[in-house]
Amino acid sequence: MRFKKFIRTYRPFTRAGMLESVAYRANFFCFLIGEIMSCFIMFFVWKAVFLSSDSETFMGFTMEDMVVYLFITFLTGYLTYSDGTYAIATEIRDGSIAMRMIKPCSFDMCFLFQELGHKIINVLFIFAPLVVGVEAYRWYITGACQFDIANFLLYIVSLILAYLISFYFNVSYGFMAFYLKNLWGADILKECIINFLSGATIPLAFMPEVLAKVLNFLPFSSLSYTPVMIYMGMYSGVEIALKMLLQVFWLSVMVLVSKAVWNHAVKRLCSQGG
Amino acid sequence: MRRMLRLHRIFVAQYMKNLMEYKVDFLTGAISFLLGQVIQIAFLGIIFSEILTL
Repeated sequence: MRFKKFIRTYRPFTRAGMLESVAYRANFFCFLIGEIMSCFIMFFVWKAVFLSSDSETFMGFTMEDMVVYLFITFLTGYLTYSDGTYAIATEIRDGSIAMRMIKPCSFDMCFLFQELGHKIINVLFIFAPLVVGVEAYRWYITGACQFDIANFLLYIVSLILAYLISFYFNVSYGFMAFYLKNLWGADILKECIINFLSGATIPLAFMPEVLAKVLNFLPFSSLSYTPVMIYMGMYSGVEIALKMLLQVFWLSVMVLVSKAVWNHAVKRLCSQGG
Repeated sequence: MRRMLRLHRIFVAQYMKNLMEYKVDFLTGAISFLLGQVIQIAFLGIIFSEILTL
């Protein structure tokens, strides 16, 4: 009964989120094309690298691995991306957060369900075509179907955990706007640091061993590196279990942090106007 | 067309002012943007130092 009420309360937010993300169709598709183009640029860079090197592998990766890594990393990054920081900071700055605070529902939940709406659209338009494309490429290169349903399902679970970590991290970060007033620069700083620490700019496998070990333990590698490695079948059963436990651990830390920050910060709301 | 360009210039200027309103925040953003670019270029540098010819 409580569950039913929960769903009934938050479903409208999901619907609103879905409508929001398809409202400006040209914008949506231009953004998508741009992202995919940057993905292909990296693809051609790697192609050049492999064509010019004498060996079949580069730092332990084959060309096929690299392609899967690139595209699945792109996909994972896209799906686990959370706009929380920017959205919350904007609402705090212009004061529209008040409208959300007077609603009889939990602040982070209504944000989460609104973003879920965006994610549903993204999954429909991007997830399926990209996965099929990558698998078709692998089939074409190796001559056999490489798709592993068990790894895929584990990937989905890990992806959802990664998204929730990302969401709660971004929410906590967005609450900094209560203190800093404007988060435009701090948001860019965050992106820059996360891209580096999560292995999005430089794959963690290429880093010095000590650094890679430390980064592997931090929450940021759980954001995209863990799901991607699970998808590629790089981990054994025990490793997958450990990595997922680590994800659950970081998720609970992030949830607790966001609650703590909220409780402290909400008392000093000071909006600047639109 | 000319009108559009003029309007566009005004909008861009306004947006810049909007960003620079918070000075420290603007500096943080500008520096981290540059930092991000440097890391990307450094990464390309590392890749291309590994391969001898292209």
